[in-house]
Amino acid sequence: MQKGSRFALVAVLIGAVSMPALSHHSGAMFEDRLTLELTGTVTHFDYVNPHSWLYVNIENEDGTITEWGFELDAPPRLRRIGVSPNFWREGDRVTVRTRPLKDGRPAGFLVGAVSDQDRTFGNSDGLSVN
Amino acid sequence: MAKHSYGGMLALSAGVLAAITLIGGMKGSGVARAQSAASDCVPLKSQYPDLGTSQSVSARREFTTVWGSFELPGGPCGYESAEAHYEALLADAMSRGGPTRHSLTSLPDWSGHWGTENSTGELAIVGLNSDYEGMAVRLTPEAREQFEFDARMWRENHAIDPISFCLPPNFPRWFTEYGYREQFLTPDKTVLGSEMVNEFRRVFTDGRSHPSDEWMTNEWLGYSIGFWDEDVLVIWTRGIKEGILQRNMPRQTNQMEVIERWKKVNPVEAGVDIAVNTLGAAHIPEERIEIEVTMYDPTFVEPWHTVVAYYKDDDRSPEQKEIVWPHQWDCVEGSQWYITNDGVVSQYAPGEKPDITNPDFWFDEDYVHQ
Repeated sequence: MQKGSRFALVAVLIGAVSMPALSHHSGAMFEDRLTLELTGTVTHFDYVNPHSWLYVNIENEDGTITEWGFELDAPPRLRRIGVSPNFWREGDRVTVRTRPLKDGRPAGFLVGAVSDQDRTFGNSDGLSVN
Repeated sequence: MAKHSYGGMLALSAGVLAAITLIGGMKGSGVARAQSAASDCVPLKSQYPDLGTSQSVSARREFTTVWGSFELPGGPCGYESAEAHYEALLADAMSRGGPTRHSLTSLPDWSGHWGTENSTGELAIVGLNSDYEGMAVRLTPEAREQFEFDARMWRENHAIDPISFCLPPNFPRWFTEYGYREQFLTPDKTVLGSEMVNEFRRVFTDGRSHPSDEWMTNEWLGYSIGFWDEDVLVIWTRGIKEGILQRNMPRQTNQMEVIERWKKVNPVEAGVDIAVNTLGAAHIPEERIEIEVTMYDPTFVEPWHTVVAYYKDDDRSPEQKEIVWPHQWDCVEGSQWYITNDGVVSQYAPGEKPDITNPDFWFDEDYVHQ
């Protein structure tokens, strides 16, 4: 996604996308049939229990920046699928697919992601950082 | 596939009873089932043949075992109580010269880091048929009514899961959680560890009984005693807190008691083809631990029996040694979960939650009072 369109979100209604289970809490706060695709710059990746969080600065259409948080699974599960604590680093460009919070605040469940460091996560089909 | 059955167990003889007294563990109240007389019982799987109550739905697929049996121990409707179940297992071991008194060198090798195959889906756990109908038929009318209410709460996002508040998963929910599993075996005590919430169960095999009523409490993991029957560890657990079997599953009372049988197997040697769900982790196919789990609760119309399995993480290579590291589980620092004023679950967005691991949070007055 290029400038001017970063907050012109690509909203995709999904049918039956397979989601990883949220083991620590219910996933009720996230949209279950709506996903967004957002591009931005990683600020930090918190590799913590019970859920890890990827934080990304997303540029809005008016040029302002909003930091979004995307929830992932816990480190014990991330280790098993090869996601290290440095899988994403500050400054990486990423495009993420997320199920956002229903109330519009800037956070969501991370469905998939690609980075300019050629790292892919989850359901990243069709995602591009370019 | 080898199957193990304890059907047709002989009644306890006076000699066996005397020996049981020696090893201890017989004191305590067994939990009587609602369906009392075994002779007039009708097994659930006969009453509800279409509900698949004879096979666990585990990891959303067929669950194959080498040794663990899905047959309900104790006959068509099971034992009357956990105590009766434990007595029968002990009597069986004694009839063959047991229980086995191990030394440090004769104990089986359960070392390493393991993962539970049952932690790959919320409902893929202690569930014989984990769908709603399959679980509801297992409950007494009162418990079913409660379960129906709870299910509605879950659907409407009002239900509260204790572990979302960073409380521990109670037992036997302990089996369903993820993270590394570790076992530490000594002749008198076996410690069964789970990385999630840093939980360690202590199973005493030194002949002690459960605590008397004077000392008994209800704990997250209960009180576990057991004995070795050759390379099988038999465990009887009582004194568990009331809770839920898992999210979207029925409640359990503080009278829940659980019988387990643990054994390490070699699927390759046994010629059993098992599609292990490791989430992608490297594992050692020759090593697997299978655990028969039988739950007794006054709210169950029949003992609830299933099989859990652990796969062994392969950390033999330098690359895997870098990855396989159990950690202290801190639930609070990473939890972003809260309940809104409307009573539904929600999540903090960036900047909304103070960084409680930042020392400024504790010492900076402005930060604290923001």
